Amino acid sequence: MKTLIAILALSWAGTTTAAEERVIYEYKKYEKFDLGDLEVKGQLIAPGDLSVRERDRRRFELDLYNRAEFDDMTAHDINTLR
Amino acid sequence: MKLLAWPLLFALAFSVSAEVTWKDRADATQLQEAGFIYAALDAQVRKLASEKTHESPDLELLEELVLKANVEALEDYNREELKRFPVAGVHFLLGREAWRKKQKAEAQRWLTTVPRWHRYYPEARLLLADLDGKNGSSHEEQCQESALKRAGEVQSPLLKRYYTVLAEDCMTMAPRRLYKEGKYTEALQGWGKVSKGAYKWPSLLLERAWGYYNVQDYNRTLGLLVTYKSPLLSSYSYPEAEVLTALAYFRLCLYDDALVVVDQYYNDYKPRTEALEALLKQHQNSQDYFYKLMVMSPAERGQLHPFVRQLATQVFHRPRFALDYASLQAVQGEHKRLKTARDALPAKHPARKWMGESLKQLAAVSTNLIGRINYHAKKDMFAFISQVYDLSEEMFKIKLEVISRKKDLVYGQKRLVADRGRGSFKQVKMTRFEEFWKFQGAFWADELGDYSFGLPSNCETVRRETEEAK
Repeated sequence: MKTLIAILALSWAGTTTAAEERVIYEYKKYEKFDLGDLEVKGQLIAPGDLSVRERDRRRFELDLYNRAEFDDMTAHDINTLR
Repeated sequence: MKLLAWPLLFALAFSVSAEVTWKDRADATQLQEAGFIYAALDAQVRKLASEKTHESPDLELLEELVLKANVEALEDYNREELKRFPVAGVHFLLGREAWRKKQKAEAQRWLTTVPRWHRYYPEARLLLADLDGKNGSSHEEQCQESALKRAGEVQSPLLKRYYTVLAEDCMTMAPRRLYKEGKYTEALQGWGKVSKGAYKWPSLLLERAWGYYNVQDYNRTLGLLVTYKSPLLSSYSYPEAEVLTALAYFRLCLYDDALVVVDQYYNDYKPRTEALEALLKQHQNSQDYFYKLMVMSPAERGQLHPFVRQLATQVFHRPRFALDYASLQAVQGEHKRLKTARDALPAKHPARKWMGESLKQLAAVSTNLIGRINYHAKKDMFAFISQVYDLSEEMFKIKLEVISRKKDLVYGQKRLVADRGRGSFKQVKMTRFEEFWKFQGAFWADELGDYSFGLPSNCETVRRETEEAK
């Protein structure tokens, strides 16, 4: 009995898979935009002159190079002596 | 290359070894008398290593041989064996190695035993002075005094140069120490004592420029650094000098000038480092390419990239190269003569055996010396590239800071007092020992090192509205 139920279950699963339709999605391959034909509604505003609002900027000063010592040069001098 | 001719003359003087009746065992005294210094040194080290106690004459002979062959000839021997020999030359070698490993107590232990009469005494005092660090000591003075004395005594131009450079090294220790302690004015006085004829004088210009930078005499900094542009110093290349130039302009708020220097740095050093990198990559595993680069004929060297040629010339002029190359020539000459002596002996002569071993040792010393020259030249070139990259980061920071300062001016509605401040004699600071020379399109040798710019600081700002109202 168990064997018969198993065979029936397998044959039912096989028929449902075959019954599913194969779906193919197609995308638009080419689309043309005519930019000259496009219209944007609104009001065009252009600045009359360049201006900067005066304000204090927070300063992050970089730690610029400054030689603290010449130990490397002394070592180099000794090592290049002989 | 004239300086290096003495080892050849030395070798020729002892070319009579064929007449010697060789003993059955290697005998250092016999070898030394026949002019085989390196072979004698090897024989003596082996003899002493095999003995539990040492006789004074044997130790004296070892000392004599170390002095003749140079201490580098001992580098291949077991250090534990060498430590057993109470010989100053050996102690110097051990002390120098401990100094390199930064083992202060160990280095001091060995170096203080080098006696005043010894050839390595000035160099031992230099190392001790360096170990003393910021406290300063009598070692600096002893080093300078003894090195100058020996420079006046020795006949060999090679040794004369070695002692003179050594004395200059000792002389520059004090100003460097003072600089480190922040005593810039005193340091500048110390550097000022080094004469313009000194070997080290061109490299000290950069150090002096740092001194003036830190006492905020940016005009003198720029004047010293412009000296490197003179044709006489064309073989010196210091990327750090470019960084310091940009910094000095930046401190004077001459931002456009600082940016020009930054751009020039990238334009100059990019092709140079590319050429050098290509060469290093191509030959990085070679055991003798850089050695060959050093000993090329001027015609061959002329075909190299100008920058590589310049670096090779710098390395070539260092005392270390001259000493190593002289030792190499002496060892190679000795190897050739010993081989001739061995080949002249009958086939079953007992001396053939030890001579064969000595020849192997001489060949090993020769290979080591070539490897040493090769290694140091390659290392110097790699160090140069690394320095260029490190400093390019510093240049980038200067550029960012200039942009930031310019933005501050824009947002603060301000501008610098002048677009480009130019020179004036009023801006030149001088002590009574310093000179001022007007630059009139040409560098004069006696003026080098005395230049100063006369640029006023441009750091004062004015409000834009005030300017516009006028």
